[in-house]
Amino acid sequence: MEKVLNINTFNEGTRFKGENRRFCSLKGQMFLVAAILVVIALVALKNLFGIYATTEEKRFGESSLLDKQMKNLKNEFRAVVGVAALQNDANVSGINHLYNFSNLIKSDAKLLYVFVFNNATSQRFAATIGNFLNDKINVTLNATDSGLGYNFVVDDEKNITKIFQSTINGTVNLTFIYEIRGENVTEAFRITTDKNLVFAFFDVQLEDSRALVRSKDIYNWSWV
Amino acid sequence: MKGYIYTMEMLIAVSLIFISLVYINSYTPTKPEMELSLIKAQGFEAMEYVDGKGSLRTLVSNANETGVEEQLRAVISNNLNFETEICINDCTKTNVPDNETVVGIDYYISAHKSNYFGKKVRLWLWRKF
Repeated sequence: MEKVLNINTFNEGTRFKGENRRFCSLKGQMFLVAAILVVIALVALKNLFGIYATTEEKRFGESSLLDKQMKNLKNEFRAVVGVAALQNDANVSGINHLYNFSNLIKSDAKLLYVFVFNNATSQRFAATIGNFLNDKINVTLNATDSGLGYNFVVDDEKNITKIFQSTINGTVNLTFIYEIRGENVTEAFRITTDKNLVFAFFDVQLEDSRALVRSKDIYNWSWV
Repeated sequence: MKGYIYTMEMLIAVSLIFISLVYINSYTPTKPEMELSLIKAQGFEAMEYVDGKGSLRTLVSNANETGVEEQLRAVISNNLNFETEICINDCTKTNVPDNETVVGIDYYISAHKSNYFGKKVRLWLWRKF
Protein backbone atom coordinates (compact mmCIF):
# COMPACT_ATOMS: atom_id res chain seq x y z
CA MET A 1 0.00 0.00 0.00
CA GLU A 2 2.69 2.42 0.93
CA LYS A 3 4.59 1.58 -2.21
CA VAL A 4 1.56 2.35 -4.31
CA LEU A 5 1.06 5.60 -2.52
CA ASN A 6 4.69 6.43 -2.94
CA ILE A 7 4.55 5.74 -6.65
CA ASN A 8 1.41 7.88 -7.04
CA THR A 9 2.98 10.70 -5.07
CA PHE A 10 6.12 10.46 -7.16
CA ASN A 11 4.12 10.65 -10.39
CA GLU A 12 2.09 13.62 -9.21
CA GLY A 13 5.16 15.33 -8.01
CA THR A 14 6.78 14.81 -11.36
CA ARG A 15 3.77 16.15 -13.24
CA PHE A 16 3.61 19.19 -10.96
CA LYS A 17 7.33 19.86 -11.44
CA GLY A 18 6.94 19.70 -15.22
CA GLU A 19 4.19 22.28 -15.21
CA ASN A 20 6.17 24.50 -12.91
CA ARG A 21 9.19 24.31 -15.22
CA ARG A 22 7.11 25.39 -18.22
CA PHE A 23 5.68 28.33 -16.26
CA CYS A 24 9.19 29.40 -15.15
CA SER A 25 10.45 29.29 -18.74
CA LEU A 26 7.60 31.55 -19.87
CA LYS A 27 8.51 34.11 -17.17
CA GLY A 28 12.15 34.28 -18.31
CA GLN A 29 11.23 34.61 -21.95
CA MET A 30 8.86 37.45 -21.11
CA PHE A 31 11.78 39.43 -19.70
CA LEU A 32 13.69 39.09 -22.94
CA VAL A 33 10.65 39.81 -25.09
CA ALA A 34 9.87 42.91 -23.03
CA ALA A 35 13.51 44.02 -23.29
CA ILE A 36 13.44 43.65 -27.07
CA LEU A 37 10.21 45.67 -27.27
CA VAL A 38 11.73 48.41 -25.10
CA VAL A 39 14.81 48.54 -27.34
CA ILE A 40 12.66 48.84 -30.47
CA ALA A 41 10.62 51.63 -28.85
CA LEU A 42 13.79 53.51 -27.85
CA VAL A 43 15.22 53.30 -31.37
CA ALA A 44 11.94 54.46 -32.91
CA LEU A 45 11.58 57.38 -30.49
CA LYS A 46 15.18 58.43 -31.00
CA ASN A 47 14.75 58.57 -34.76
CA LEU A 48 11.44 60.41 -34.42
CA PHE A 49 12.82 63.08 -32.08
CA GLY A 50 15.90 63.40 -34.24
CA ILE A 51 13.84 64.19 -37.34
CA TYR A 52 11.66 66.67 -35.42
CA ALA A 53 14.68 68.44 -33.91
CA THR A 54 16.37 68.67 -37.30
CA THR A 55 13.22 70.06 -38.93
CA GLU A 56 12.79 72.68 -36.23
CA GLU A 57 16.46 73.64 -36.31
CA LYS A 58 16.34 73.98 -40.08
CA ARG A 59 13.21 76.14 -39.90
CA PHE A 60 14.80 78.33 -37.22
CA GLY A 61 18.00 78.65 -39.22
CA GLU A 62 16.23 79.59 -42.42
CA SER A 63 13.91 82.12 -40.73
CA SER A 64 16.99 83.70 -39.13
CA LEU A 65 18.54 83.97 -42.57
CA LEU A 66 15.35 85.57 -43.89
CA ASP A 67 15.51 88.09 -41.03
CA LYS A 68 19.04 89.03 -42.02
CA GLN A 69 18.07 89.36 -45.67
CA MET A 70 15.13 91.56 -44.69
CA LYS A 71 17.43 93.81 -42.66
CA ASN A 72 19.73 94.13 -45.70
CA LEU A 73 16.83 95.15 -47.95
CA LYS A 74 15.37 97.63 -45.45
CA ASN A 75 18.74 99.32 -45.00
CA GLU A 76 19.26 99.57 -48.73
CA PHE A 77 15.81 101.02 -49.40
CA ARG A 78 16.50 103.69 -46.82
CA ALA A 79 19.84 104.39 -48.50
CA VAL A 80 18.10 104.76 -51.87
CA VAL A 81 15.68 107.37 -50.51
CA GLY A 82 18.41 109.15 -48.60
CA VAL A 83 20.62 109.39 -51.68
CA ALA A 84 17.69 110.64 -53.75
CA ALA A 85 17.15 113.48 -51.29
CA LEU A 86 20.70 114.66 -51.97
CA GLN A 87 20.12 115.05 -55.71
CA ASN A 88 19.07 118.24 -57.46
CA ASP A 89 15.78 116.71 -58.51
CA ALA A 90 14.93 114.59 -55.50
CA ASN A 91 11.54 113.52 -56.85
CA VAL A 92 12.76 112.18 -60.20
CA SER A 93 15.82 110.59 -58.56
CA GLY A 94 13.66 108.91 -55.91
CA ILE A 95 11.16 107.60 -58.43
CA ASN A 96 13.85 106.21 -60.75
CA HIS A 97 16.17 104.79 -58.09
CA LEU A 98 13.34 103.09 -56.18
CA TYR A 99 12.00 101.56 -59.37
CA ASN A 100 15.44 100.33 -60.46
CA PHE A 101 16.25 98.88 -57.06
CA SER A 102 12.87 97.18 -56.83
CA ASN A 103 13.52 95.66 -60.24
CA LEU A 104 16.84 94.36 -58.94
CA ILE A 105 15.40 92.57 -55.92
CA LYS A 106 12.08 91.38 -57.40
CA SER A 107 13.38 87.84 -57.91
CA ASP A 108 13.92 87.54 -54.15
CA ALA A 109 11.12 89.67 -52.69
CA LYS A 110 7.62 91.00 -53.21
CA LEU A 111 7.24 94.63 -52.38
CA LEU A 112 5.06 97.70 -52.48
CA TYR A 113 6.23 101.24 -51.82
CA VAL A 114 4.86 104.74 -51.49
CA PHE A 115 7.32 107.55 -52.14
CA VAL A 116 6.37 111.14 -51.40
CA PHE A 117 8.32 114.25 -52.23
CA ASN A 118 7.11 117.60 -50.91
CA ASN A 119 8.33 120.78 -52.56
CA ALA A 120 7.90 123.55 -50.00
CA THR A 121 8.56 126.23 -52.63
CA SER A 122 5.78 125.21 -55.03
CA GLN A 123 3.55 123.96 -52.21
CA ARG A 124 2.88 120.70 -53.98
CA PHE A 125 3.74 117.15 -53.20
CA ALA A 126 3.99 114.09 -55.40
CA ALA A 127 3.05 110.59 -54.24
CA THR A 128 4.42 107.63 -56.24
CA ILE A 129 3.09 104.11 -55.80
CA GLY A 130 5.37 101.26 -56.87
CA ASN A 131 3.93 97.75 -57.20
CA PHE A 132 6.03 94.56 -57.26
CA LEU A 133 3.49 92.20 -55.69
CA ASN A 134 3.20 89.88 -58.71
CA ASP A 135 -0.34 91.14 -59.33
CA LYS A 136 -2.08 94.40 -60.16
CA ILE A 137 -3.56 96.53 -57.39
CA ASN A 138 -6.54 98.92 -57.30
CA VAL A 139 -5.49 102.05 -55.44
CA THR A 140 -7.42 104.80 -53.70
CA LEU A 141 -5.20 107.68 -52.65
CA ASN A 142 -6.64 110.52 -50.57
CA ALA A 143 -4.93 113.52 -49.07
CA THR A 144 -7.60 114.32 -46.54
CA ASP A 145 -6.51 117.85 -45.72
CA SER A 146 -5.81 118.65 -49.35
CA GLY A 147 -9.28 117.83 -50.68
CA LEU A 148 -7.96 115.66 -53.49
CA GLY A 149 -8.31 111.93 -54.14
CA TYR A 150 -7.44 109.47 -56.91
CA ASN A 151 -8.58 105.99 -57.93
CA PHE A 152 -6.35 104.07 -60.28
CA VAL A 153 -4.83 100.69 -61.09
CA VAL A 154 -1.12 99.94 -60.78
CA ASP A 155 0.03 96.93 -62.76
CA ASP A 156 2.76 94.64 -61.53
CA GLU A 157 6.28 96.07 -61.96
CA LYS A 158 4.93 99.56 -62.61
CA ASN A 159 4.77 102.84 -60.73
CA ILE A 160 2.34 105.75 -60.93
CA THR A 161 2.74 109.30 -59.60
CA LYS A 162 -0.04 111.63 -58.50
CA ILE A 163 0.25 115.30 -57.57
CA PHE A 164 -1.41 116.92 -54.58
CA GLN A 165 -1.64 120.46 -53.26
CA SER A 166 0.04 121.13 -49.94
CA THR A 167 -2.05 122.56 -47.11
CA ILE A 168 -1.79 125.84 -45.31
CA ASN A 169 -1.41 124.34 -41.84
CA GLY A 170 1.66 122.32 -42.89
CA THR A 171 0.36 118.77 -42.39
CA VAL A 172 -1.43 116.35 -44.67
CA ASN A 173 -3.05 113.03 -43.79
CA LEU A 174 -2.38 110.73 -46.73
CA THR A 175 -4.57 107.63 -46.87
CA PHE A 176 -3.43 104.82 -49.13
CA ILE A 177 -5.94 102.01 -49.75
CA TYR A 178 -5.15 99.18 -52.12
CA GLU A 179 -7.05 96.10 -53.12
CA ILE A 180 -5.22 92.96 -54.23
CA ARG A 181 -6.86 89.58 -54.94
CA GLY A 182 -10.03 90.67 -53.15
CA GLU A 183 -8.26 91.86 -50.02
CA ASN A 184 -8.29 95.55 -48.96
CA VAL A 185 -5.36 97.06 -47.09
CA THR A 186 -5.32 100.58 -45.64
CA GLU A 187 -2.21 102.53 -44.71
CA ALA A 188 -2.27 106.08 -43.33
CA PHE A 189 0.63 108.53 -43.24
CA ARG A 190 1.11 112.02 -41.84
CA ILE A 191 3.14 114.20 -44.19
CA THR A 192 4.70 117.48 -43.11
CA THR A 193 4.35 119.99 -45.92
CA ASP A 194 5.99 123.15 -44.59
CA LYS A 195 9.48 121.88 -45.50
CA ASN A 196 11.11 120.00 -48.36
CA LEU A 197 10.58 116.38 -47.55
CA VAL A 198 11.12 112.87 -48.83
CA PHE A 199 8.92 110.22 -47.26
CA ALA A 200 8.83 106.54 -48.09
CA PHE A 201 6.77 103.56 -46.97
CA PHE A 202 7.95 100.04 -47.82
CA ASP A 203 6.06 96.77 -47.50
CA VAL A 204 8.51 93.95 -48.21
CA GLN A 205 7.89 90.20 -48.15
CA LEU A 206 10.54 87.50 -48.27
CA GLU A 207 9.60 83.88 -48.59
CA ASP A 208 11.26 80.52 -49.00
CA SER A 209 9.95 76.97 -48.89
CA ARG A 210 9.57 76.95 -45.11
CA ALA A 211 9.06 80.50 -43.81
CA LEU A 212 7.65 83.93 -44.68
CA VAL A 213 8.94 87.23 -43.33
CA ARG A 214 7.11 90.50 -43.92
CA SER A 215 8.16 93.97 -42.83
CA LYS A 216 6.65 97.44 -43.12
CA ASP A 217 9.01 100.36 -42.71
CA ILE A 218 8.85 104.14 -42.92
CA TYR A 219 11.63 106.55 -43.70
CA ASN A 220 11.49 110.31 -43.95
CA TRP A 221 13.92 113.15 -44.20
CA SER A 222 13.19 116.85 -44.35
CA TRP A 223 15.29 119.91 -45.02
CA VAL A 224 14.74 123.62 -45.36
CA MET B 1 18.49 27.04 -9.54
CA LYS B 2 15.24 28.69 -10.62
CA GLY B 3 16.23 31.95 -9.03
CA TYR B 4 19.60 31.77 -10.70
CA ILE B 5 18.05 31.36 -14.13
CA TYR B 6 15.59 34.22 -13.53
CA THR B 7 18.41 36.43 -12.39
CA MET B 8 20.50 35.57 -15.46
CA GLU B 9 17.63 36.32 -17.80
CA MET B 10 16.88 39.58 -16.02
CA LEU B 11 20.54 40.59 -16.25
CA ILE B 12 20.59 39.77 -19.95
CA ALA B 13 17.44 41.89 -20.51
CA VAL B 14 18.82 44.86 -18.55
CA SER B 15 22.19 44.59 -20.32
CA LEU B 16 20.42 44.57 -23.68
CA ILE B 17 18.55 47.77 -22.87
CA PHE B 18 21.62 49.47 -21.43
CA ILE B 19 23.83 48.61 -24.40
CA SER B 20 21.10 49.85 -26.76
CA LEU B 21 20.86 53.15 -24.91
CA VAL B 22 24.61 53.65 -25.04
CA TYR B 23 24.77 52.75 -28.73
CA ILE B 24 21.84 55.01 -29.68
CA ASN B 25 23.15 58.06 -27.84
CA SER B 26 26.71 57.65 -29.05
CA TYR B 27 25.75 57.82 -32.72
CA THR B 28 25.51 61.31 -34.24
CA PRO B 29 24.03 61.16 -37.74
CA THR B 30 25.16 63.64 -40.36
CA LYS B 31 22.58 66.21 -41.38
CA PRO B 32 23.49 67.39 -44.85
CA GLU B 33 20.44 69.65 -45.26
CA MET B 34 21.12 71.41 -41.98
CA GLU B 35 24.71 72.00 -43.06
CA LEU B 36 23.58 73.91 -46.16
CA SER B 37 21.50 76.26 -44.02
CA LEU B 38 24.47 76.83 -41.75
CA ILE B 39 26.76 77.52 -44.70
CA LYS B 40 24.27 80.07 -46.06
CA ALA B 41 24.00 81.76 -42.67
CA GLN B 42 27.78 81.87 -42.33
CA GLY B 43 28.18 83.43 -45.76
CA PHE B 44 25.54 86.07 -45.10
CA GLU B 45 27.02 86.95 -41.72
CA ALA B 46 30.43 87.33 -43.34
CA MET B 47 28.95 89.81 -45.83
CA GLU B 48 27.22 91.69 -43.01
CA TYR B 49 30.48 91.91 -41.11
CA VAL B 50 32.44 93.30 -44.06
CA ASP B 51 29.59 95.76 -44.77
CA GLY B 52 29.60 96.81 -41.12
CA LYS B 53 33.32 97.54 -41.34
CA GLY B 54 32.53 100.03 -44.10
CA SER B 55 34.66 98.43 -46.79
CA LEU B 56 32.08 96.43 -48.75
CA ARG B 57 30.19 99.43 -50.08
CA THR B 58 33.35 101.10 -51.40
CA LEU B 59 34.57 97.88 -53.04
CA VAL B 60 31.21 97.23 -54.70
CA SER B 61 30.93 100.79 -55.98
CA ASN B 62 34.36 100.27 -57.61
CA ALA B 63 33.37 96.76 -58.86
CA ASN B 64 36.40 95.36 -57.02
CA GLU B 65 35.64 91.64 -56.72
CA THR B 66 39.19 90.75 -55.70
CA GLY B 67 39.00 93.19 -52.82
CA VAL B 68 35.68 91.72 -51.67
CA GLU B 69 37.15 88.22 -51.73
CA GLU B 70 40.18 89.32 -49.73
CA GLN B 71 37.93 90.80 -47.07
CA LEU B 72 35.78 87.67 -46.95
CA ARG B 73 38.74 85.28 -46.81
CA ALA B 74 39.61 86.56 -43.36
CA VAL B 75 36.07 85.89 -42.12
CA ILE B 76 34.81 82.75 -43.81
CA SER B 77 35.77 79.36 -42.39
CA ASN B 78 38.78 77.55 -43.89
CA ASN B 79 36.54 74.53 -44.50
CA LEU B 80 34.71 76.43 -47.24
CA ASN B 81 35.65 77.58 -50.70
CA PHE B 82 33.86 80.57 -52.15
CA GLU B 83 33.56 82.77 -55.19
CA THR B 84 32.02 86.22 -55.49
CA GLU B 85 30.40 88.07 -58.35
CA ILE B 86 29.33 91.73 -58.36
CA CYS B 87 26.43 91.93 -60.76
CA ILE B 88 23.01 93.37 -61.46
CA ASN B 89 20.88 90.77 -63.20
CA ASP B 90 23.01 88.29 -65.11
CA CYS B 91 25.43 86.82 -62.61
CA THR B 92 27.92 84.33 -64.05
CA LYS B 93 29.22 81.22 -62.30
CA THR B 94 32.87 81.55 -63.22
CA ASN B 95 35.17 79.29 -61.17
CA VAL B 96 32.19 77.69 -59.43
CA PRO B 97 32.46 73.88 -59.60
CA ASP B 98 29.68 71.88 -61.23
CA ASN B 99 30.37 68.67 -59.33
CA GLU B 100 29.94 70.09 -55.81
CA THR B 101 26.95 71.09 -53.70
CA VAL B 102 27.07 74.88 -53.93
CA VAL B 103 24.95 77.42 -52.08
CA GLY B 104 24.48 80.98 -53.29
CA ILE B 105 23.43 84.08 -51.42
CA ASP B 106 22.73 87.61 -52.63
CA TYR B 107 23.74 90.69 -50.65
CA TYR B 108 22.39 93.95 -52.01
CA ILE B 109 24.21 97.29 -52.06
CA SER B 110 22.22 100.23 -53.42
CA ALA B 111 24.33 103.31 -52.91
CA HIS B 112 27.55 104.73 -51.56
CA LYS B 113 27.83 108.29 -50.27
CA SER B 114 25.66 110.32 -52.66
CA ASN B 115 25.76 107.90 -55.59
CA TYR B 116 23.16 105.28 -56.43
CA PHE B 117 24.42 102.23 -58.37
CA GLY B 118 22.15 99.36 -57.29
CA LYS B 119 24.15 96.12 -57.39
CA LYS B 120 24.26 92.80 -55.65
CA VAL B 121 27.13 90.65 -54.47
CA ARG B 122 26.47 87.00 -55.34
CA LEU B 123 28.46 84.76 -52.99
CA TRP B 124 28.90 81.09 -53.92
CA LEU B 125 30.01 78.70 -51.16
CA TRP B 126 30.92 75.02 -51.15
CA ARG B 127 32.75 72.66 -48.84
CA LYS B 128 36.44 71.94 -49.35
CA PHE B 129 36.27 68.38 -47.98
